[in-house]
Amino acid sequence: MKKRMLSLALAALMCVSVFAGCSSGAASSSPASSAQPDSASSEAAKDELGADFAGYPIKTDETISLYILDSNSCYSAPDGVDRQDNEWEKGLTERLGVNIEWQSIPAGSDANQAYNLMIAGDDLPDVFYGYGMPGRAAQLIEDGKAIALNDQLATYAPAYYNFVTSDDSIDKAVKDDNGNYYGFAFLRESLKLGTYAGAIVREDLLTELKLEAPQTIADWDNVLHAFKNAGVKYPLSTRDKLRGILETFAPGYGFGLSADYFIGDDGKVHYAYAEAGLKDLLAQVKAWYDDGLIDPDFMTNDSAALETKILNGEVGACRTTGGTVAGYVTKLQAMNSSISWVATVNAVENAGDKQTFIQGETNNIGIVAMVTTSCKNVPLALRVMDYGYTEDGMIYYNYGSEDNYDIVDGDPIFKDSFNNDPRGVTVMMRTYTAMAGNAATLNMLSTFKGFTEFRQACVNTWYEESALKHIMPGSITLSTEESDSIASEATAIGAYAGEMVAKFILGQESLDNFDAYLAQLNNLGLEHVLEVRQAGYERYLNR
Amino acid sequence: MTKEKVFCSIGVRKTSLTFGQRLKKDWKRNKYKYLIILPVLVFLAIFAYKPMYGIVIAFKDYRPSISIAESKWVGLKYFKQFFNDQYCFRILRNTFFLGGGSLLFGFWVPIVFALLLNEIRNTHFKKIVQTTTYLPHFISIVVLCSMLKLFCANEGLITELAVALGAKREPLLQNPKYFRPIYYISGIWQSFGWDSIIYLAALTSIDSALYEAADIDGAGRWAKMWHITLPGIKTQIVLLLILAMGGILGANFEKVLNLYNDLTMEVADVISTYTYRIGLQNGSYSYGTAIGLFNTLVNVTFVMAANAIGKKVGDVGLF
Repeated sequence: MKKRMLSLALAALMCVSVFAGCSSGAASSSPASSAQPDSASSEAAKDELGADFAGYPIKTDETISLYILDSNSCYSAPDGVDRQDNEWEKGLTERLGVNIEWQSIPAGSDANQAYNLMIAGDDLPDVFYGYGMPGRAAQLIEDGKAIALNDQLATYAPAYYNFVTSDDSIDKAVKDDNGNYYGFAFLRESLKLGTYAGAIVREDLLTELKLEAPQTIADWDNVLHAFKNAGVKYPLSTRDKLRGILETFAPGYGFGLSADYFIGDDGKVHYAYAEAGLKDLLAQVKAWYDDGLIDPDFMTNDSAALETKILNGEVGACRTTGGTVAGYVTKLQAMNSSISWVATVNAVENAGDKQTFIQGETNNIGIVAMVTTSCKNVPLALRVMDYGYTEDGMIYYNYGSEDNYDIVDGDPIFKDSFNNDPRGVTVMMRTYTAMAGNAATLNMLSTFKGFTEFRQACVNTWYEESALKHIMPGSITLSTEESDSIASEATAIGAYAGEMVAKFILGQESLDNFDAYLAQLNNLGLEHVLEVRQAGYERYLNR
Repeated sequence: MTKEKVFCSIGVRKTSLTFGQRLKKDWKRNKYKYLIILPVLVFLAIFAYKPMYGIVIAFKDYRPSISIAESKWVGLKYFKQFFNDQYCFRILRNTFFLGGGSLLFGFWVPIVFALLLNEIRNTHFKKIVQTTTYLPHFISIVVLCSMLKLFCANEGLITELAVALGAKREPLLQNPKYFRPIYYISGIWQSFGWDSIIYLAALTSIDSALYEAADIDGAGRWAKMWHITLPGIKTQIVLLLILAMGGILGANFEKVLNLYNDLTMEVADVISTYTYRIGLQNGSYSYGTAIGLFNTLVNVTFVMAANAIGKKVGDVGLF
């Protein structure tokens, strides 16, 4: 490790000397780099953060402002606690030796709005972190709002740089189409951590009725009918409207519905609601609906309504996230209920087949920290953000301070005192770690061991590595012109498809009109939308 | 308005003075009144008039990362896009029906309620009724909508009632047929008590001598209501009607947003929810603004028309 660091430092040094010559040229080409003169004038400080970096804490009086463009899931603090006053954030400042000014979006406003307000204003923070950045990055750099980090990443953020360049698929995911590194992405050590939702079935009922967990459409048909005959009020329910009903079964008809768009076996971008298999899927689901197997409230259920039904034992199967079902199980156990749940796979053609389509995420799902042109000390900002990807920093982001965990078999694992704290795991995670949601760091695979056994079992069932190739990469970028040109078409298509699919299931629209439905999707410009998305996907592949 | 009228209204007799001179004279006389109104003027200038500058983005290709001034002019592009939008007719129709229907079915309810309440002589009972009917006004719209969703679910309270009356059992909010009635009735239920306050206040200002005189002439309750009470609150009724006309294309955004779903979109999607999805969720600010601006223009037209009619028919008007 030491040796690697040394060679790395040398490599970094070389990079600096190489880039020193051309950096002024690169800077003048983009009006963005207003930070350049500042850092150049303080030559001594630059070295200390670059080649001569002595490690954290940095010990400086300077402050880096960090705007978190999300209310809840990014750098989560407990409800009602300001990030500035939260234990984890205080500890981070100590470890970094740099003051951080945490900025949060105004209460009650949504992240998109806050982002646009920030960008429209003159007073940018040094760094901002939030969702949806890949689509914005290239334009932001062009408009002189954010800076491309290419020249400086290797020098001032070696841990991040090494990690992303070590794997071609990750490297691709954190660059834009112009080859620019635009920020620090939330990354996962294994993509398994990106699979967190799937189908669950009542285990106690399956045992009672001597049935196996359903795998094929025929199994499902059998199980749902058996549940109904056994007196289950809502054999299939959801709180996720159409998708919650359809997603589990779509793979049985040869397509995926975990997102609107997916990559087909032909390497082309497909729109899930325009697949030929949809007609048969809808015919099957409609038959189930007519037989009273589907909760009639499926379009209006919210999470509270679904939870009540589940705790009352009225639901036979549904689709949910590992965290949510783990919560149900805990509550059911507390009630001494005999109800138990088990996860099952998305529908496959023959029992035992590998799943073809799953809920999953690719590298860089779009949550990125970007450095703005208002940042006075870019090297320092990079060092601050790089901490989350260093070995020590990664553990601090994922597990918090040493008081929280023990090292078992080389992996950190939360102490019982942490897990059993009366404040509850969620509050503990939000108070002492940054991983209750996401942050600019690497989500460590070892955190998976921290899940309850039940939740681990769920994810193990739902996850199938070979199915990830169908997932539309989260860091595809469209140019502003491209997204403008498809924005209204895509909205109209989504709205029309949603309405029609709902009507097909309830029988308000006959499935004989399915071809007319497909034709109307094309009238609304589906072909154009797919063309533009395909071009974006191909640019991504060629990065 | 004639010249004399304008001058009288700011208290100057000579008609030969310029606006500046008149203002100066009036300032001397009414200094403190001007000072009192000043904060309101400043407030309006900052929060109502300055933001109107933003309307120009309806005629530009606006992106937040460049300023409004830098954005490219595109003329009427977004208005044309709206009129060619496949949902244009639908959202206009829905907005009109939801707004107009609320007015048609809801406007007279608080008036009738106030008149009825006015006839009650038992003050204790009157107060209880009043308080009970105000209460729904204080329920937040989001809470009201989750109540409605619960009550209109497959086995909800209201659904049970409908089934008892012979309707088919189904989640009422998943049937487009029921969306409008649910919207109207819940709206009336929530607001009629509160809206009646202004009429009740107006009723107290009617001279009781008129009623005594009518008693002597032998008028019954009905005749008194028709000939004294209603004319007595005519001004308030017309004024509120004019104001309500402005809302005819302003269906309740939060309520629709919280109640609609894919199945009821056809009758529930209105201009404001559409603007919200296009403008804020999709980030097409220019398009959203163009639709919003169009909506406002229609509303202003309605107010002007109602005002003109009010003045012509009953000599009552806002301006």
